[in-house]
Amino acid sequence: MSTTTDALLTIDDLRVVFGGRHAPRLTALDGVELRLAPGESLGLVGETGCGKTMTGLSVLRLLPPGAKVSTGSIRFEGEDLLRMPERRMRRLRGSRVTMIFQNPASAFNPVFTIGWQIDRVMSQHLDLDRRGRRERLAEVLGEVGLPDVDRIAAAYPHQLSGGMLQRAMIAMALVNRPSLVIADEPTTALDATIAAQILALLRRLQDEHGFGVLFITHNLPAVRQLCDRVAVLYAGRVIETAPTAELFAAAQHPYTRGLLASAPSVASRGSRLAAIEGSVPPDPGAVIGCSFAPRCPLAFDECRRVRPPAVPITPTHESACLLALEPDTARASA
Amino acid sequence: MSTERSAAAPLVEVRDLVVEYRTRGLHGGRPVRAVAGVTLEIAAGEVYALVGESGSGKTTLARTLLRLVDVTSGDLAFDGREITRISGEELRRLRRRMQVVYQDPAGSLDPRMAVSELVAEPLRTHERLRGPALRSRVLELLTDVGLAQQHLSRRPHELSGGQAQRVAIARALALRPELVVLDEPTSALDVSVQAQILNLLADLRSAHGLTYLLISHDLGVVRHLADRVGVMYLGRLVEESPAEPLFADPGHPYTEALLRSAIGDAGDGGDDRAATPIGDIPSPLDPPSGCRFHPRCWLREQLEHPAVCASDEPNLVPIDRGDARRAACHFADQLHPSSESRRAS
Repeated sequence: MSTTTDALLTIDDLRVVFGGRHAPRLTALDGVELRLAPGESLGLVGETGCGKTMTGLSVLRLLPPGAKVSTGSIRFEGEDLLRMPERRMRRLRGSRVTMIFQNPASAFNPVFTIGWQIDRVMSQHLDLDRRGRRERLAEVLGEVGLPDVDRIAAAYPHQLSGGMLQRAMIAMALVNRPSLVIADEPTTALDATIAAQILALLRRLQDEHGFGVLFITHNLPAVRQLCDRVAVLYAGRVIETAPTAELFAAAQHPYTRGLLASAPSVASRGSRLAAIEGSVPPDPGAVIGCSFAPRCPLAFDECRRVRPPAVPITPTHESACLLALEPDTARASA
Repeated sequence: MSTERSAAAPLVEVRDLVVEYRTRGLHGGRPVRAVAGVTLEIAAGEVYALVGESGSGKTTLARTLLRLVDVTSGDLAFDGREITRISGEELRRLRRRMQVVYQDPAGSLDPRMAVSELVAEPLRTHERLRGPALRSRVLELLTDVGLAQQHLSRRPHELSGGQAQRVAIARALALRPELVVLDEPTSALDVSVQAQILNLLADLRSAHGLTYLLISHDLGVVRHLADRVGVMYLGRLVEESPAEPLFADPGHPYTEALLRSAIGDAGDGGDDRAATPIGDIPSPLDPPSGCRFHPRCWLREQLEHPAVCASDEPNLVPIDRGDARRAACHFADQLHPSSESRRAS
């Protein structure tokens, strides 16, 4: 197993299954591989059910009941998270690794003030007295654009707008100075003008503090704005990774290309959109060969027999497609 | 409103529409003006899109047009006939001519009914179809929306999101309506499925000569489908324009901000902070004085806070950047040069 010392997060061959003894077994993650360098922001994109949220929850070891990791490893700052005792794991969550959720209204407890909730996160992890925590709270609220500290700290979640609550949640995620922030659809529930403010804020804070971001989303344009690199997930596997600009300009995998082509744009006006026909396989673990082959316009016989490995196209761009392996011969036989 | 109209008359006319909701409790019955004086027309065969954020009034406007919400003041006309206060049999006949497709297909379909019953229901109630005639019309509708015989016996939970939305569309088309209100028709769908549904909507429009009122916050969808666009902000129409010029050269600072916020469209988004609105959307319970956008307006900031923005509400008036374009901004003529220089810098 690789122990690259300069990686912040390394996920190797991660498999997560649902069910087992009493329920049918269903594969949620089918061998996910990811690398995240310190201070890097990696977009994890894919459609409903592809496993992107499951990947984030695996890192925090917060998988829902019924789901469990069957194989694989998750290394964070050199330590294997899957073997870490629960006590240590609890110390890690909320301090070194934190999470920003999609719906801030349900991530906060409605019966406590924002100030109390952020203070509690601090008191469990930071060695600061009341006054020190008070100062840190003011500092972090200022950083996320909520300078009216007394009012915000005394407010209950329902007294703040969606945009302000999302800022407060970012403050809570950053208050203990994490090295990795997992952001799961942080702007999906927000209006467009507010979402743009939140993304700009995240990007600025990341530049200033240098934490790594695992940005989970189905929104490709948002990835383009925030991320250095993108990993595309399909049916529980990473099928392509590349630096953001390269992925948008020169995607190799037919699924990534389909995803990019199906988004309406200026050019698509008045013409037909390139929809990806069919739907995601119900149990990716049961598919022999490439899980995208049944929907792939370029699939040939080999695709249904062999599971394509991730193939480097450039030193920073990988694609799990047989066409990437030997582009010319493969196309000729198709 | 006159009942005699030329053939070129718009299919839908909305005049000075005001819709108020009464709130209870804490606000002591203070009315919320969800739609605060909107005038617009939709031509037959056109796709008219209403865009705006939470509280803009776009959904209320559409629901009022469907006569699901009462008009507080103003007039509505459909196909040249006043519909603001009709009721009984007249309203029932009108309802067949305008249908709606909602955002969440699973929530808008009765979970206990099979697809065949769901599509047959409007035909049974309104057209009194029975037996083989009913069956063949149901099949025809399902074929129209890209479903097959095998889907007939499925229930909503056995359908994918895209299939369920196809069923909702088949139901909406069953009575051969002239106007279909599409309320965020693809917001709940993944992008690859969204593309299938958008293609279908475009096909159905040309096959049946439909008029669409599209309500969406997704500018990509609007740009793909709409002929004309109305931009709403806190109950007011702030800009109205044919779609292409609006996206190329917005006529209102809010529209420009909305386009800039449509993340990623501006490429790397390096300079997008210039036109990003300041702060949060105010509550429709207590809209700002003067121009409702003024507290968040980046253009007002650039012009160093002219007093008129906070004192006088601007009217929606023609602007000199192309035909049929209207905007409600005291400084609409300042928008273009300043955004040019901003882009250049």
